[in-house]
Amino acid sequence: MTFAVRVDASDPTPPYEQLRRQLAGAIRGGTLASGTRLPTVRQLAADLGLATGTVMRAYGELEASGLVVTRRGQGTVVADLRSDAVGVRLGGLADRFIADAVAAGAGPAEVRAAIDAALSRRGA
Amino acid sequence: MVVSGVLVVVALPLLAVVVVLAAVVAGRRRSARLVFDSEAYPGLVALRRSTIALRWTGVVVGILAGVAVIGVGPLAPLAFASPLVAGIVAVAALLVGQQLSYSGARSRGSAGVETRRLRDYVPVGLARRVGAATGVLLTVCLFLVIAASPDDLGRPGRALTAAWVEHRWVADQAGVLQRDDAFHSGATSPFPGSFYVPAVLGALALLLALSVLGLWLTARRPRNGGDPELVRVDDALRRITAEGIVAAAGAGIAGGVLALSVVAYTRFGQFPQVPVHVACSYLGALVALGALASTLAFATTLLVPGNGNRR
Repeated sequence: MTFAVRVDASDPTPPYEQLRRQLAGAIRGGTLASGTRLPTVRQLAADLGLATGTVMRAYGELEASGLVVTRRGQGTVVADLRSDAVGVRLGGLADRFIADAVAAGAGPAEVRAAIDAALSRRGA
Repeated sequence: MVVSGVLVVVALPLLAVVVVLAAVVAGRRRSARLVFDSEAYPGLVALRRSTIALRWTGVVVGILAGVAVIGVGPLAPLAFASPLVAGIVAVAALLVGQQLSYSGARSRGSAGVETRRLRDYVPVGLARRVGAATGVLLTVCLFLVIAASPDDLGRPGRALTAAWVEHRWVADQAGVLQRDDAFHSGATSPFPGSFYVPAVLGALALLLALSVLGLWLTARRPRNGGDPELVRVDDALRRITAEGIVAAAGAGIAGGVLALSVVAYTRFGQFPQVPVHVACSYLGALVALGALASTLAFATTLLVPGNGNRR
């Protein structure tokens, strides 16, 4: 069964972020298994009716999070998350937390302070 | 011109009639329809209609274009490229049909995470036969270029010449037999040598390039890959289009071999005194029969699309 992605033009979230979230969720949830080849940027952009730059940015963010890797001649494939499962998962969680915190108006110092406070409460 | 006269008056109409008859017969065998909910997918209905209907338009316009180019220019340099021109037009019609209506398989904002590859749609067996036909066409062209000679006005590669010796014995005044060999030569034109072959090769290059482009566009055109039913039908339509493109290219190429080999057969056959020419004539007849069968098979596949199931 092919995983479907949807980009809603009326959603205030930028299209690249909508795409990134859906792909990241599918990769973390195991719907897109490691080694799964993602469509080319050009193909996905044409299918969705988006600019290639939009899809390229979403793929770039996924690669920066360690969720996909781009290899010459193979295209973009879902990364093997087992090799660094905790690190990749933490990276994804941090991404989401930071995005929500920034949306709530927090700066970098406040974000760090909030994490330190949470760790202190747990006795870490 | 003898060649164009024979092609226009006899060969092409006869070939067209045979192809239509073969298409009708084969149609009963291959006519399993591509079934889907047409009310739920009106875009696919339009795509199916243009995928299948425009090939007939392409064939008719292609034959007309092929006939039209036969008489173009002094000494008709495009005469033997005529079947390939017909193939080019047929492939172009398939492409136009697809490009006009591919949006029927697309839902803006929706897509599937899928990779679409050329090899998922190209009919491998048919493509191999087109490759073989291309090899035969190139071989025939090379052979004819080597065999041809200048015509009576010195135009290179436009005639077939032959020279032979007639061995005779004549009695002299004393009644003794003396050898009195007679040397003969002859020429016949037009012959598809280097005067005509460049147009054939140019048309072949254009036909192959257009076919590759068409197959690439067929695999790459966008769709909503997140809808499994749409994907099933769209995959079938892509396979039907790819099969049509490959078959049209094959019909054009095999038709080119047919035109060249029929003329080669008749021209070599005009010199029964030369054993090599007689052998070449028989060889030409064999190649022509094979090319005729291939042309009919390709044309039937083009005119009677399958249901797009993976084979």
